[in-house]
Amino acid sequence: MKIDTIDTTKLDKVAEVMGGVAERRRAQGEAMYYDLLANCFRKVQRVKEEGKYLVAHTIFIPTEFLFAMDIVPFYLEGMCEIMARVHGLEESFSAAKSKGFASELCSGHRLVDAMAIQGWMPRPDAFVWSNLVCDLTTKTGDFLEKLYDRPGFYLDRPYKNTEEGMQYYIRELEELVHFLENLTGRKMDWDRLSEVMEDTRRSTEVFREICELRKAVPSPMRNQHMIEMIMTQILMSGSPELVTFYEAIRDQVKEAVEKGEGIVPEERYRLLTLFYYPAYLWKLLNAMQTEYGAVIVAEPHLSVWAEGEIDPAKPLESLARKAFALYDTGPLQPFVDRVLRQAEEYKADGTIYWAHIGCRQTCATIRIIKEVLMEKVGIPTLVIDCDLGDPTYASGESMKDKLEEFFELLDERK
Amino acid sequence: MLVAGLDMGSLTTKVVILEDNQVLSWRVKTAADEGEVQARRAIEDALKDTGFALQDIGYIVATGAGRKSVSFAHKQRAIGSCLAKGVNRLFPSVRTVIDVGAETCNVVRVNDKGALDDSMGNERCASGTGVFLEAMATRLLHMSLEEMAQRSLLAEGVAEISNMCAIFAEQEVISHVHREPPTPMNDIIAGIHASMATRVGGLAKRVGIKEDVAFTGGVAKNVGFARTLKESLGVELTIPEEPQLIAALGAACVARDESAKKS
Repeated sequence: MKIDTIDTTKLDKVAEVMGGVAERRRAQGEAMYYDLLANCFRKVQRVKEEGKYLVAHTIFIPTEFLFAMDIVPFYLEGMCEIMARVHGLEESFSAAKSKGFASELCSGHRLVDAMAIQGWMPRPDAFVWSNLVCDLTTKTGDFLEKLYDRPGFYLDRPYKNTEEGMQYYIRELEELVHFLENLTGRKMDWDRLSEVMEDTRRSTEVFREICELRKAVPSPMRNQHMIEMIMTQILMSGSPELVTFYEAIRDQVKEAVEKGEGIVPEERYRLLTLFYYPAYLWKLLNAMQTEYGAVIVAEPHLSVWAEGEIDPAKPLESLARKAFALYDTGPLQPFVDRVLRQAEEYKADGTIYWAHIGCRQTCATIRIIKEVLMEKVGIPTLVIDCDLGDPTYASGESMKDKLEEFFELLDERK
Repeated sequence: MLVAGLDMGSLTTKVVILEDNQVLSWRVKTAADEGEVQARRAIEDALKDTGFALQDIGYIVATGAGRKSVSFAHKQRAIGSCLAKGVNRLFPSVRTVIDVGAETCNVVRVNDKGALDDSMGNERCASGTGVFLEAMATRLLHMSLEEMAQRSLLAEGVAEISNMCAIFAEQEVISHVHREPPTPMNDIIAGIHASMATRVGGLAKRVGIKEDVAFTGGVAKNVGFARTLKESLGVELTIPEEPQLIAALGAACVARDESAKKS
């Protein structure tokens, strides 16, 4: 199977919709995130007319290399999910199923496959993928490379963070640079890369500030801000726009902390959340705040990007350290330690585990983490079976029901 | 002080009325009307011959799937905390409650203060609930649930039946009935119970089983399934005299506590 024709109107529509959402949110001061998303799609729209290269990549690929070489990135999982939501999730899942992608597979990847199969995903000049965060990511890249008949590069991060593993991964990053140089016919401008890495350093610094500020009681940050921060981190790490976005959030959060104000008038529950929220349920995150006074104070899976030293003069080492900070791939114990630490530092009352049905590796850890949280810090965990991208698996109403019951449990423990 | 607990289930509505913390009256009514009307009728029925009327009840708590439809309830509570309270009132040593109703299966852990510690419910599947047994008994085997329960106690073997899906299980039962020679009916029934017990037990193990264990909900009256579940889990099961009333009793206890806070 090969994709010969691309329907560019699908991408155009998404750029238009994102722009429209940004305009609607401007009055409430919430346009910035949607402006960034819209611009990402617009850059992809303009890539040929501007004579640039387009590289489609999976999650956590260092976009710093792409920005340094003036290559336009297309973040596969995130942007395909947005495209599918704009054009119809049901149709997209059906398309994936029609080509043998069973519903038991992670919906994030099924949507990437669906956008590709239908010829809605723009044709990139190359694909770059890795084993971050799972084996399905690995196979997605293989599939797309063949489907679009484009060159591809697989970035292999070792399982454990050892000196040998670090050196191996640095060599992998060097190979990726060579691949991009061969693709574009240009050499990497290492000075430019250092400039880009300075933005990465700065955004990491601001990210850390935000994470520290969130320890305040009452919680100063909206529930959905962290997922916005991670999405933009993956889309545009190494860009000045990311620094500006993080600084805007940091300033909001800092002001709230200085005034002693919480994001909700009456904070009733402080929650850790584990894994990713269902992408279609941001309204539930808001409802948790407004209806129940439930604030999310930390997300151990997501706030990991604040770890590792970023030295602009040593980009490969810095990016390698950043990659090894990710707990999705690697031994479990460091992650368990981090969860326990954050439960205490952020004074969590309880934990919600978004048990994404398509993710075997994280679901396998649920019981261990749940028991450890109860034994070591005495906080209960609500496990919500759900699907990251498929709303037919569990409805918002059923999740709200479970949350209500969990909040009753937390009330009884007070 | 008069308080009431309402459990608005999918098949039945249960009411327990407490007067000064003693059970004054209770009812189980098959759900024939829309939520609010059903709730009102159930309470009025429970109050018959007590000399009291609905307006005499100082505090009402509604639980169960239909709890949000009861506008006259003073409070709505999720099923887990009501099961914990209800069981704790009757059996303070119970630490795990397995509640199997018509369309739901919930497992609840109770802490030593008698409060909810953890809970989980069945997701997306009827094969661990009462409708599964009902469908097997009435549609496939053409017998009542009581007969099915009694016959399972006489089984000499256990037919292999899928525990993954109620629909697949139906197909397997049909093939057991029609094979040559046919699988003995008692063994088929034992297989149906075993399949469901695996499903229910799996949910219980996800929450974690801590003794003592109570088995509640309408399906707890099924002696055949109760025995199979006990064997499957390897623990003794405490079954209340009226197992389907536990959540309503717990809701009434919550009503009692809430009304005491108010006064």
